[in-house]
Amino acid sequence: MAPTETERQRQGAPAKCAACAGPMDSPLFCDHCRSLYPADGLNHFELFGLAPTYDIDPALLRQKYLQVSRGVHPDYHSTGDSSLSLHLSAQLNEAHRVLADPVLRAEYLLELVGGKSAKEDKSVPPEVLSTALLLREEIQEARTAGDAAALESRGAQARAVYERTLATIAELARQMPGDERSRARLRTALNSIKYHQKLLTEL
Amino acid sequence: MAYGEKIIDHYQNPRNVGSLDRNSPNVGTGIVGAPECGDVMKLQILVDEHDNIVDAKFKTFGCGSAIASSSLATEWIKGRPLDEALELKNTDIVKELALPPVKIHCSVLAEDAVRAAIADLKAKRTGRGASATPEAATTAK
Ligand code: FES
Ligand SMILES: [Zn+2]
Repeated sequence: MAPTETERQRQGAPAKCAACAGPMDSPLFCDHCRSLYPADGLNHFELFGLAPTYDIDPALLRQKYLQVSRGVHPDYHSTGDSSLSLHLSAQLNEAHRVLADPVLRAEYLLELVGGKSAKEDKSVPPEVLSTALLLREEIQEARTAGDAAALESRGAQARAVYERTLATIAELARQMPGDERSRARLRTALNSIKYHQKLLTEL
Repeated sequence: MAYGEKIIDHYQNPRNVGSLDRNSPNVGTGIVGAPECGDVMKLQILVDEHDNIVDAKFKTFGCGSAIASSSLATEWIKGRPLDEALELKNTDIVKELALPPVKIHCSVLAEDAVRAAIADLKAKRTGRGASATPEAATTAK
């Protein structure tokens, strides 16, 4: 079987448009004849031509997102296949949403590595739960009592634990694929931050 | 989707909200969480000398379905022997409260909390060390 467009790209060959044989910068559309191609098998990073790493430049991601989105827009290409165009832009939106978020991006990298996801694993240190419980209790009390100072200090506490966990996630996600131990630690941190995120929405 | 009367009743008038003395040798404490939403629940049981659950209290920081689930769970386990309380299944709660699929994890929280509270109590019984750090027996399954 002839390799698909995606496979050829993975193999490092310059992508060629199947319709006009012109070179393609994006795997999704041809600048010359304006043909569109489905994103089959491309991961979120590949959609934007980015390397699958945790540290991505937000400005570059944004720029790629706008550029590729414009390229698949129905106004731009002439083939009239608006359903493929819509489908692609939904995929691009989703990919951008995930990659632009530091927690979702780490979760996604873990997913690309394979193995158990944080959601399946559910592991979380007991003290994360008891701290979350205590803080939510105190936040609720402070709110009922109208104690702005207490609310403020609990808020600072909640933000501090959130920032700490996010730093751990970044450190571990940079090591991906890593070993099973670092992946397990990343899963735990990803689960823990769900409780810290919830705390912040309660403030 | 309209919620059933039962859930509204348990949500608006939750039974058994509160705390028990977690350092008492006859009190088991379970603290559990749902990573799906980041909500947490504490459920405590008090047993008599025959290991019958004579009281149960909870504090839930979660949605209405979680509050109703824990209210129902505490009502259900009160007066039952420990081992029977272990039979409580989240699917029973789902059925009783007519919870929609997106709220299933909220009922799981209540089942997990009952199990964690019982496990904590049992740990207190067997190892003296376990009672010194009540958190040690909590679980987030
Ligand atoms: S949504 Fe969090 S417990 Fe129901
Ligand atoms: Zn072309």
